[in-house]
Formats: sequence, C-alpha cells, structure tokens
Amino acid sequence: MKRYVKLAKGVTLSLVIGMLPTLAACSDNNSGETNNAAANQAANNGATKTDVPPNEIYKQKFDPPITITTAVVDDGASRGNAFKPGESMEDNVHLRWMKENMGIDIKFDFIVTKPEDYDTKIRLLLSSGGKLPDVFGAPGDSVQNLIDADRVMPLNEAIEKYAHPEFKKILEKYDYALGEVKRDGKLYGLPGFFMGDEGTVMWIRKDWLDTLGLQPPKTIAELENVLKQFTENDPDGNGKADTFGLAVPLKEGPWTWMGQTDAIVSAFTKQMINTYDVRSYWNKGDDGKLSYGAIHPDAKKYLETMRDWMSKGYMDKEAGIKDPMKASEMAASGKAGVMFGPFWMGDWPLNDATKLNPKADFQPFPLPAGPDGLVGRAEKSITAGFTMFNKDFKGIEAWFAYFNKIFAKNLEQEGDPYFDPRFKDGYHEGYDYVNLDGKIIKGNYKEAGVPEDKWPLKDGSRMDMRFMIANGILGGTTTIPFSNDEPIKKFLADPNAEPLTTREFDVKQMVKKQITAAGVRMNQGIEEGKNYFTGPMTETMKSKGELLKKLATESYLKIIYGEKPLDYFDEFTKQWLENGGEKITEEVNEWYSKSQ
Amino acid sequence: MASYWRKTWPFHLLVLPALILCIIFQYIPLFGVVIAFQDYQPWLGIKKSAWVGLTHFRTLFEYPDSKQVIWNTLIIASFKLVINLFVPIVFALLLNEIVKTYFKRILQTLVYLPHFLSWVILGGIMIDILSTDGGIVNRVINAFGGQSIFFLGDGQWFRLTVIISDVWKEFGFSAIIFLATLVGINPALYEAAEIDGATRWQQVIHISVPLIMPIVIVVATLSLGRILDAGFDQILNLYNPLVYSHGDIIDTFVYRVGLNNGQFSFGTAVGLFKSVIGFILIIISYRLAYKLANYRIF
Amino acid sequence: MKFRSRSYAAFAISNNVFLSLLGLICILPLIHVLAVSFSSRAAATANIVNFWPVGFTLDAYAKTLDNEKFLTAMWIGAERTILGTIISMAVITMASYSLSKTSIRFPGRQVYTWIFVFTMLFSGGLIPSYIVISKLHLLDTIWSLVLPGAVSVWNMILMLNFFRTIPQDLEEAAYIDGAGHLRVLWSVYLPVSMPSIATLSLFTMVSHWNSWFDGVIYMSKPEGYPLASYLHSMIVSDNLSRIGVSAESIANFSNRTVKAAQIFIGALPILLVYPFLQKYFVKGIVLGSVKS
Repeated sequence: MKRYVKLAKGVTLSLVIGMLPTLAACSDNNSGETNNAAANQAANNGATKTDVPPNEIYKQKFDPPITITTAVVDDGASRGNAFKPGESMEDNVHLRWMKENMGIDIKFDFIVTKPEDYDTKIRLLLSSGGKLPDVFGAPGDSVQNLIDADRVMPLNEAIEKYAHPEFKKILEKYDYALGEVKRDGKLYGLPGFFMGDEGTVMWIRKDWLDTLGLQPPKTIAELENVLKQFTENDPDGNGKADTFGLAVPLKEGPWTWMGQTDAIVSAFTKQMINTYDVRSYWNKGDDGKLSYGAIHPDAKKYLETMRDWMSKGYMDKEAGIKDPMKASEMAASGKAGVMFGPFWMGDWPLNDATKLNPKADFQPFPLPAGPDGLVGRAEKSITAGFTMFNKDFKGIEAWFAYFNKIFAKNLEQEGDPYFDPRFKDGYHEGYDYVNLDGKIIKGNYKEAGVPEDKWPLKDGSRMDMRFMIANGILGGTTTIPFSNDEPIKKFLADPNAEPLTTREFDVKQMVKKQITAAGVRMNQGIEEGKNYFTGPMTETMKSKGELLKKLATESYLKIIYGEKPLDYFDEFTKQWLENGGEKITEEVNEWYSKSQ
Repeated sequence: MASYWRKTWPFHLLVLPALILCIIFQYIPLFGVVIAFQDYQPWLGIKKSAWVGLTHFRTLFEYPDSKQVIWNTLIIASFKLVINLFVPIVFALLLNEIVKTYFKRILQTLVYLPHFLSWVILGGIMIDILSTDGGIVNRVINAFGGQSIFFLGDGQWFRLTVIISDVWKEFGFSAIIFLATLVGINPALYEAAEIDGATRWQQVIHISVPLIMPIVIVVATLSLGRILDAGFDQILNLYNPLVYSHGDIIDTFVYRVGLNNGQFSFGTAVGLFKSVIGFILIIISYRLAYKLANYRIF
Repeated sequence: MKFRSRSYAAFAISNNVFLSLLGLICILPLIHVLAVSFSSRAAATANIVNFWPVGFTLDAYAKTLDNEKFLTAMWIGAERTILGTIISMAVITMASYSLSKTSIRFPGRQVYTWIFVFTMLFSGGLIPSYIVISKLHLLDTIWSLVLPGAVSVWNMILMLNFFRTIPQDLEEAAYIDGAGHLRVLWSVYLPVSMPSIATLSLFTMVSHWNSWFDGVIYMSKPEGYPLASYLHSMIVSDNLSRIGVSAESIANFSNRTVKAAQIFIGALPILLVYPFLQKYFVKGIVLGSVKS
C-alpha cells in the first residue's frame, strides 16, 4: 500500500482547510437557550468560564457548555486519512476533547463536498430566510452582501479583548490584504491565510539537460535555447521528433495555479499580469496609482516571446485549450521538458514522470532573468477566504479560546500562556503521535519500532489531523503565513536533522524535491509582485468584468497563436478601456486612495 | 354542467395527482420569476429587492458580445436539433433491419453507453483523440494525406466538433424512443405489404416511416422548446479562449457573468427569455401540426 | 424472411458492418475509463493509458469499495431511482390515460395539457423551489428527490401519444364488459403498452440515477447524497484555483484512477438495467401486435 505511506508526507498546514468555509447557525435546538444565556453572561463579566490565572489562560473552560453549530466542506476523498474508522467529522476524539475540557460543543448544520455547493447553500439560506450564522467562512461573492445586510458582527472589539497577541500582529502585518472585509474602519471577517509558499519555480528535466550537454538556463535567452534543443534535438533519444520544450496551460491566460507563466512576464516587466480575473493584477505605478497589468504596453514583450515560441513549436501547440491538469500531462508523460509552477509539483505531477521512467528527473531551478536583468514572479493572494461571525452570536469568547489554543500550538512559542501543555507532544495520543516508552513518535511507526497494535491506523500510515482540528469553526484562520520557511531552511542545511516542532515534522514529511524546490524559491529572494487591489468588486467590475476577462484572455491567445498581429494589442487595450476598463480603473483608484 | 362532470369526473380524477404535484412543485415556485424584473439581492429577498423592469433583458442584448453569443447559440442548437432528430431515426430504422436479435441487442446497448459519460470526462478524452499531436483522428486524416486539424482550437471546426460529439453521445439514447415505436408496429401490416409484392425498401418508406411520424413530430416539437439550449455542460467543458468567437453560447456566458457576481436576476431574466422563445415555437409548431396534419401533438 | 434480393443482401452486410463500427466508436471511451481505473496513478497522471491498463492495479477499486460513503450513496441512488420511477410512472400513466382521449370524449383536456406543457418551459428557479421544499419540511428526506420531478411532461406527452395508437375497439369491448376506467387502463392499456412503458421507465430511471443537483441542494450531509451527487463532487473537483493547494492534498486531488473506478461502478447498475428492459422493446413485437 505504497499510496498510504505517501500520504504521510509534508503538510502545508491547513491550506485546504483554509478554504473550508464554515457556517454556524443559531442553534434552535433545546440547548440553544441555555448557551445563549451562558454566553451572554460570559460576554458581560467573563465569569461563567472557569476562572483561571492569566498565565494559565489555556485552562479556560465554559460551564455550562457552549454549543457552536457550524458547517464544512469535506468531500471525504481528497483529504487522506483524517479520521479513524468509525470516527467522522461529526464525531471524533477532538470534538469529544473540546466538549470535555473546554465546554465547547461543535454541531454541524450541514456538510457539503465542494466549495461551490457550500456557496450555493449559503445563498439559499440567505435567500430563504434560513438561520444564519454564528461563525462561517463567507463565500467570496456573499461577503459584501452579508455586510450590507448587517448580518455579521464587527470584530475589532472581540479581537482587542480576546485574540492572541501574535495573531493581532499578523492581522496588522497583512492588513493590506483585508480590504474585502473592511468597512468604515471596522473589520468584519478574519482572514484564513495561505502559506504563501506557492511562488513559481522553474522545473526542468535535468536528465535532458545532461543528455544534450546543456547548462540550466539563467536567462530567458538561455531558456529559449533549452526549449529549442528540447524541441529539435530529441532529448529522449527515441529517434522521433515527439518532444517539445514548455508545457503550459493558456486556457486561462498567463496566470493560473500550475504551469503559470508569471516568471516569463516578470522577466520583461515589473507588471504582473492576469487576464482571467479583472480583480488582479493591479499594479502600483510610480505615481502611486494602480493600473491593470494586462493592458500595460510592456505586456507586448511577453506576448512577442510567447508568440515566437509558439510559432517555432517550442511550447505545446495546444496550450490554448488546456487547463493546468491537462498541461501537466505533457510534462509527466515525457513530452515536455520544462514547466513552471509551485514547489509542490515535485510530487504530483512531476514525480509521476519518474515513476513511469526512472530516468526522468525534473529538478527545480531559479527563475530566468530577462534581457534587462529583471527576475520576478507574481504573488498568489495571501488570503484564502474570510471567517465571519453572526451579529447575534454570543459565544465569541469561547471561539477565541479555542482559536488561541490552536493558534498557540501552531506558533509553538516558549512561555505562551495560551499554549496548552496537554498538546505538548501532539494533539491526541494514538492519533497524531504515539508515546513509546517516553519517546514521542509521529510517523513512520513501523520503522520506529512501534508495535502494530499501537499504530494509529491499521496500515501504519500517519493521520492528517487538520480536518479534525479545524472542524469547521476555525476556517483557515490559524495558518501562519510563511511558517514553513524556517523548517525548510533547517532541512536544507541538514536533511537528517531531528524535527522538533510539529511544523518541522510536517515539513520533513515532504518529498525531497518539494523541499529542494521550496529552497530554490526562498534562496532566489524575489519580492513577489503584489495585487494592490484587495477590495470588494466594484460596480463596473460586476457588470463588465466578465466581458473584459473574455476580451483580454481571447486577445492574448490570438496574439500568441499568431491569429492577430502583435499590434493588435493596442487595439485590444483601446477596447478594454472603452468597454468599462477605464471606469474600473477609476473605481479601483478611488478605492485605493480611500483605503490608504 | 352537472352532466359534464358526471361524464368526465374519472378523467379529471386520473389527472389530479399529476396536477397537484405540478402545482406544488412547479407553479408555486413560479413566483420566483419576478426576480427577473428586480435587482434581486439574496438578503433582501423578493419582497424588498428593487424593481428594475426590463433592464436585465436589455442587458442581454446590449453586451458587445450579445449578437455573437446569440448567433452561436442559434447555430449550434439548431444543427443539434435537426441532426439529433435525424440520426436516431435513421439509426433506429437501420437497426430494425438487423435480423439476429442478440446482435441487435448488443448494438443497441453499445450505442446507449456514451449517454452515461459526463462531459467532464469526455472533455479530457476529446482533447486527446482530437490532438494535433498524435491524436487518433488527426492520424487518420494524415494517413489520407490531409493536414492536421485543430478541432478544438479553430472556430468553425469547434462548432462542428461540438455538434458531432453531441450527436455521437446522444443518438443511441434518443433512438430508444423510435425503436420502441417501430417495435410496436403490427407485423400484419408488413405481411400484407409483402403479399402485395412490396420490397423491403418500400415497406420502410410506406409503413415504418409513416407510422413513426407522429412520434417524430412530437419529439421535434418538444425539442423546439430548447432552441436556445446549445448544450451548456458540453460547451463549458470543451470551449476555450481560442474559440470564444464561435463557441461561446448564452448559457456559458450567463454562467460566467453569474460567477463574477451571483447575478440571480440576470440569469433568471435570460432563462425567462429562453423559455418565452421556446414556448412560442412550441405553440407555432403545435398549431402547424394541427392545421397541416390535423394532428394534436398533445 | 423473403428479402433475398441481391441489393438487399448487399445492404444487409454493409448495414451490419456500419452499425458494428458505430457500436465500437461508442464503447471505446468507456473502455478507456475502465483501463484508467485499473492503472497506476503515475500512468493516469501522464495520461498514457489508452485501452489497456498501464501498471495494472486494483487499488482504485479497493479504495472505492472500501469507502462507506460511496456505498451508502449507491444505496440512496437506487432507492430514489426505484421509488421515483414507480411514483412518476404511476402519476404519468394515469394522467396520460385521460389526456389521450379526444376532446369530444374529454372536453377540457387541452386546458390540462397546456397547464402541463407550460411547466416544461417555465420554472421559478432554484430559490423558490428550495423555499417550497423547505416549507413542506421535505429537506433531508428522500421525497425531496422524488416528488418535484415526478411529473415529467415530456414523458407524459410521449405516453399519451402512445396511448392514442391503441385501437379504440379494444377499449370499447372492455367498457361493454362493464369495466371502469381504472380497469381499462390496467388490463387493456398497460399490457399492450409494455414497450412504451419500458421505454419511459428507462428514461425516468436514467434521469433519476443521473441527477445530482437536487441531492446537493436538499440534503444537508453527504450521508444523504444519492450516488450522482456524490460522484459529481468527486469528479468535478479538478479545478484547484479556488483552493489552496498543499503538498499533502495535491496527490489526493489528482487521483484519477479512483475517479475512473467510481465512474465505472457508478454507471454499472443503470447499464445493467438496460438489457433487462430492452427485452420489452426488442421482443415486444408479440405484445404490440395484439390483434383487435
């Protein structure tokens, strides 16, 4: 069961969880009244929780217990081993622990299997006057609705009163990314963060480079040569002209989640470009104004290069009809030798190439520099969604008590009064760790000599605790951006170093190529190009955004495919501005000047 | 009046269950179409959302792409409509000529299979078989000396691909209704014709075809109601920026607009517009069938 | 058979060949899916599987059949299909019986037909439908999957057209014997209409088996999902742009072999139903030829 062992590898904490939207409805069951009363009291004088000294605040317990109903996205398939047989999202060791030790009782109103379905349910609840909500991750397009409708609570006060001090710092640090949930100086949602580690690196078939006697390309010109050689010189030595250079999906334009070409864009310009979403990338000019990257004249240089490579056959001729998954097949099957993308590609899909052909060796390399020495990449939005709180929710103190506990566990800071020593070795013995005669073992149980009957799972694999811990009410709020960086540095320096923290342990589980790639990303020290527009969709974006997205993506592809001359770009820019782009630019800048 | 009820009450009674279900689950929710005339906001609900009259209908026509999108829809949908009617009939007639029952049954089962594969799956498969780089279809074309065709990336070919693949997917399933009708034809009719010395071909033309005609007309009329449905799922999974100009249809367009913004009102308005057009076409063809063939379709 | 003219023989042969080819073209994609389901993950990622498994393994099936949710969903799917088909066919058959009468025998029938046809085109949309189901307290019950679509107008119209082809004298003979309408429907109409009933039942079953959206909307937990809803969530989650991708989750997301296995197992029951119903419209000749 090789696959199960594979599951026990690196975890970028709660990235998927980060998107798990949450919903809690006012509990209208029999316990509703009591806990509202209790919560009210708690809110008033903080007396119903067990009184604890400030240096042992982790001991907080609510009596009578507080029920928080919630909902979650859980498809049950893509999450690996999250629960033991017989346990589930709704009934597991962690929920029981919470109830017993914290007096917090989590109930699920609904569980769906896809984010889209979650959004639909929320809208239906909103529309049908269904009961909304205690705590919930708001779907992107409902955030504004919820604030407009005055159904969610401003959080400034609660954060001030209850939040972990380090979390307050993080909120301040990433304040720029919270535009969507800010209104009149108040914060209406807590961000779930991405790890921030998905920046593009360049993956190249090292074995092909070696076969053809090529050096890893450091510039776009060298990259072009590599692409050319890969296309024309039969790098796989099968005597057929069946290879090409770059595997790239262009169905969604230059920017997407894998195989993206932001690095090529950035070699020519400081503008970040995304044609597939009118909300990004808005770049900051020298005059302090924001402008849309895809219509900047510099984009022509990118288009010219791509067009050239396309016409010469250096990249996938069918890139225009492919999404990232489909494009990655070209790399995995040994047809293409170069693909850009995040560090995690070192496992799926690129490691699958090696499984099929042991010689196939994709390695991560630093991004190439452009003719003027420019190197760069775009930043994937750091926020993964927002957790919001019902206006009528009275148990926010309990929520923060739980949040702080998990957050402190992620932080692993010495002397943190929020840190719960009961979680010192892990969350729950027999789940995420085993105590073998005083030695804490968190994975590879067989190799560590743990007797079979003490393995958390029958096949000896590791459990993925994120789903149990986040359990709907936290969303991704406990993720600390870039907290993988230090552990990665540690293991780059010494691959055999002993992991000391949970974070380090998770990182150590990654496939070696993933760690290498993460290292390549960090060591290149690029400041990623930000999207400066983080506000709610503007009026014109709502009405014209779709049109402009279509126009931009279509124009880019037509130019790359040579169906339209390069100069068509100017025509496109004109159309873009005329058909609402100009108005949107105004609106965006208006927002920007206000949000400063 | 009393005598009317006395004579017909059993008929009314038998319709009643269907009528009740229909009223509860179809007519009561119909109040929802009013949001087509509102700027509907979920949290305000229907009662409090602002009225905007025909704005959304106008919007549908005022987008710079509107003409193109509507035209694409019409082209793709009407070709599909005609071919999706014609091919299953021909197939049913051909299959009816097969003598061996087991062979007939196997064939019928095979052609019925594609109906059960979703376009998500087929989309990926189609990119592979239509690939210009070693896809089976282009290899055949090359073998006959033709140039490779970028089926999914070239506008005109894209439309053709969409139409043919849809026919391929559905013809086996659509043929079932005609096969069932053919099977219902009284063999005595064929026997009589044979005695009169009619060839098989003549029998098909003079017996089989006329006898399935009523069903053909019924199916055709009902399909007309979907004249503006060009196949959302299929196009969504196959189209790409290279073929927006030839492949973007009303439904995919509305879908993308809705994604941006959850525009319930706009989507409902477009749906209503499509329904009205479809309904008008059904009324017209109902009348025509009655006038020309003296046949009430329903 | 007497059609042994040479041209007919030539036709028959080419017809056989042509239809066989057609059949082949139709089954290939399914074979491909099947081959993927038996292949290794790496082979599926690289998409090098054609019609024969690469790196043969039963992992995908082990994982699918080991999944309790999948099996529960399959059961619910079967439940709704059977219940839904019975209810729908009963309601439709009764209504079609009445509506197949001429306007002379059943004045006012056209009011009904137009009432029904109208709903074929116009619908209130998701939100009001949800509100109705919710107010009737049908959320999270099998009835929310079965009742709203029970009156398939398309099927009703086909059925009433089939009924019209039944010879009048059959019916009249029954009336003379003193039979009531229900009796006529049951013992005269139904037996001679087996091919059409089999056909329409098949349509109803297939649409029940395949519909996924209502399950997602009306069920609050995946435990209540019918198979189609369950599969939908498995199969369409290929787009990762909305989701943060972690090193861990990526491998699971991309498990195409399991998806392929699920597609295949999921389609299997409804594929198996077909040959069973088929006999009614391949051999149905005997019934259809009831002489007056």
